[in-house]
Amino acid sequence: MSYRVPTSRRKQKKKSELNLIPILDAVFILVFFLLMSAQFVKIYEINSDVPIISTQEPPKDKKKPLALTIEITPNAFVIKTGVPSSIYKTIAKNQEGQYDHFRLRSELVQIKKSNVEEETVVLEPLVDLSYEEIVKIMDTVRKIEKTDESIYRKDKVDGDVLIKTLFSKIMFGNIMS
Amino acid sequence: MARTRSIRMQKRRKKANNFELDITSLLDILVILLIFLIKSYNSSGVTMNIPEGIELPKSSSSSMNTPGVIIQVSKDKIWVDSVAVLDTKNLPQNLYDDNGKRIVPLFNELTKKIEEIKKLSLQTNNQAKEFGGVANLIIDKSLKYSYVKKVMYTCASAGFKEYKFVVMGEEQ
Repeated sequence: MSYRVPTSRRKQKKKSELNLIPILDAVFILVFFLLMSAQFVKIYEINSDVPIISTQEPPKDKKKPLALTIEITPNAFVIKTGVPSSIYKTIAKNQEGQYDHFRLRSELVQIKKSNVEEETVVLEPLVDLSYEEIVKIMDTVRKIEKTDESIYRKDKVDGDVLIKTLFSKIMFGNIMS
Repeated sequence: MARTRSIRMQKRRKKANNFELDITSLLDILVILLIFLIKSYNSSGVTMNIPEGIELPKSSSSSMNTPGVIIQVSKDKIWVDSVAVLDTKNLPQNLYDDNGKRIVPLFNELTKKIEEIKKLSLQTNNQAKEFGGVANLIIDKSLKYSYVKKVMYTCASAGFKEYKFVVMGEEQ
């Protein structure tokens, strides 16, 4: 007759469980810490440098500066390039009477393709736009959308590097005037 | 007979003492909460106070906030680091100077603020507390460019080198 382990002892063996209380303590502390430093509204920033007015002559460089400027007139975006500036393209408002952000971005993509190292753009609103509209224009000139043509920059180490931003250094040209 | 009864009673007492709360489900909830909180964790460490009356414009930007002096501009008030410096209900006599380009109360407060920061950095000898020339602009989206330009001009003339336009992130 074989020995049968008493039922109570069998039950006792099954009862060995992981002690979750220390883990629970740690998780509680973490939850409190994260709750204190949580940001439920996503707030970001758009950088812009203060323009510096200088009376000195610019340093002589073989390459001509792009000096990309976008004038915002009551009826259109006027893209200007070069020193002294000349009109590169005028993008009129669309049929609904809104500024054509899509065409502006596609023109800027073309400019970026031939000036991959250039990051600066000067905005000159000549019309009293709302701040919301200004932010929208800043978004248009800053970012390359996924649907836009891909632009690559040649790098000695990494080879072709995909460019993710258009002209991210935004300046307001007419603050001082 | 008495012995058996006592053993039975001991077992019952043991059972009553061994009662444990099942915390596995509670732990599950906490882990889910933890993941949600980690997602909304503010790694920049900068807290922005957006006063009543300011509605931020939406933007596709994803740049983290930088520490600096916070200038809040609503339709009728201007604050510097949450301290009101201008109220349309109580306008000073000389509100603008420099051909109407500079807001005087804002300029005075900003220069005072810069001096305070510089003094503090000299006292503490802490590079982290040095004046970085960053102005965080929290501006109501309905304000016109002509007014925003005045705020920007005032900041520039007070000695700020960089503007950070604070915006609301769009869901991507």
